[in-house]
Amino acid sequence: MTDRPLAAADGPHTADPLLEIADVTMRFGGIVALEAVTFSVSQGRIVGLIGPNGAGKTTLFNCLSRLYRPMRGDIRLNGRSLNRCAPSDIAALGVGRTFQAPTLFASMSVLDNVKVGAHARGANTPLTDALSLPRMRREEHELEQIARATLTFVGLDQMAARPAANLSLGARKRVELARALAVQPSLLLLDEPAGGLNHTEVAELGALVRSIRDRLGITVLLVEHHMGLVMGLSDQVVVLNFGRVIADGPPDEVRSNPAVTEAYLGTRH
Amino acid sequence: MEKRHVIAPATGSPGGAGGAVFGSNSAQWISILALVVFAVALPFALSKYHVFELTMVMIYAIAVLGLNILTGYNGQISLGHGGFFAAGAYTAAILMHRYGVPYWATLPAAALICFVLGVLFGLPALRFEGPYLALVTLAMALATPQLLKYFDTWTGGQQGINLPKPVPPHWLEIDRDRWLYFVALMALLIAIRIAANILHGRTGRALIATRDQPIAAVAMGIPTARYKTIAFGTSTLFTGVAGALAAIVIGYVSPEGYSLFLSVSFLVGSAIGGIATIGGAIVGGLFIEFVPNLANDISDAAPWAIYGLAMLLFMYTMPRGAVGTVWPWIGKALMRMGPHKIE
Repeated sequence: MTDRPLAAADGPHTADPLLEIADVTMRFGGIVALEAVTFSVSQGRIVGLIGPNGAGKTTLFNCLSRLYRPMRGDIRLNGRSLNRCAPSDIAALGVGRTFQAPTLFASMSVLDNVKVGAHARGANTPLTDALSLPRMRREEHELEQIARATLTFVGLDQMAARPAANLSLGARKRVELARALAVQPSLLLLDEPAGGLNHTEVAELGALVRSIRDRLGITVLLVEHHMGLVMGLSDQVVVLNFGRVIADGPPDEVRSNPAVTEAYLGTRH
Repeated sequence: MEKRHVIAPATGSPGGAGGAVFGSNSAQWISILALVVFAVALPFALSKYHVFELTMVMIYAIAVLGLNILTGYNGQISLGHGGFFAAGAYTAAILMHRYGVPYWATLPAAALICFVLGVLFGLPALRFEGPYLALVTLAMALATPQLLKYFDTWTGGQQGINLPKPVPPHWLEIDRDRWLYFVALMALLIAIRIAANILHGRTGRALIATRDQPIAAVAMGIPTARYKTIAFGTSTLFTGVAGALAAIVIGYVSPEGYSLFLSVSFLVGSAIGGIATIGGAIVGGLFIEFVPNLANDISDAAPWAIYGLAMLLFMYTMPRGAVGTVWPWIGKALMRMGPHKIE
């Protein structure tokens, strides 16, 4: 793990945190989904977020994309609090995300799906669209270029014209990834990107996520159950259990943490 | 450290797929041009009455196109578009009758008023989904004739309003019916062009994304509530202009003309043509204008049974509407004929 220059050596509180999660608490009725969750993500890192089912990982993602508003605590991106933002403003602030369940726009082509990802980069209004002004056609052309380049990046340029409805699972996941990249984010949230993929596809995904960080300089927060992938990719791993952070550090350290073993395997007798 | 991370677009990227699109585009343009020439020549080969019928077909097509934007592309069901059709019709009628406004100037007025009404109605509609929205809009359709009777100082109540007959420009030596046919044709062509521009651009993608996956749409930066309201306003703008045109062409408005049945007809026309299509609106217009009369010719006793049967037949053979079902097939045929191959 020492061959990567950006790998974390001294824990989470290094300089220049892109994302700071401070004391975030979320309850649904009497159930505690997140309890005083605090950690930060530095620029240019791949951070794995793991934990048993129901630990609160997706809830945290939904707080990050403001689909939920935390009951307590703050989430800051580049020092700016996300709590006051509308959910639809988050993309423009530089957060792209994928979803655990398939959420492609099924009636659109692959290319149009990716163009929707670039929505926040556009400025056309219904009026400029209706009048088809030159400015509007220029912007459409730019969006098309961004979308095609993004599809090339994830290796799907041949499928641009295909309807999104009838793609294989692996291709669907890549389109989701391309759509999130078209947001042109500084922070990418990936919610179980390896779910349902076979061995080869997982390896390809790992290489792709790494190149998203290395070639595009995008910081990645990754929720994943595939331990091999998380431990191999991440510079920092945060472990949630019953809504609390029980470990936060480099993969090796987290792996040997007794609290983590206990959370996954139960108490040793 | 750079803040925005852009994937650099490849230079000179429009490749093979772009060529294929161009191929089918030119075929599309030729067929559109042929259709327009046909539509211009047609009224001179038909009787005045048939010209009037076709004028109504085009007007209904505009109304259905409006509904398609809302229901087909944005997923909001409306059973109340007859109400907006009435609002457009009465805007035109009151402006012409009371204030002597020329008929053509009532169209932008109806567009503006119906857009505002649609936005105002669309805001509370945000709280309702699917069948619940259908019920709320149904209430509006039921209330429309009664409201028109209630505000009788403006609407003329039960008697309605007779409108002055539009005069064709004197340099054009055609009669009134053929002139109004061309007015409706112009309006339809403009409506189709504007709808296509909206639906094939950033706005259209946002509307469809909101319909298909609202949560993912929000995460992509689409303010879904705003787009749903815009969809409502745009939709009722189209339908309102159609209502104004209908009032001008028929020369008369009265509450009975805007019953629940009109709203249902629009939804039926929309489904028959293909709810998420633009061309389907014309098929819908044909259905709304001709099928009730045809049904009457077939059976005096039970025309609505025939109407229902026709609907059933259409929906059974073409579940995604005439254009929604047939167009992809034509598209494939055009691709095969075209000089370029896809991929």
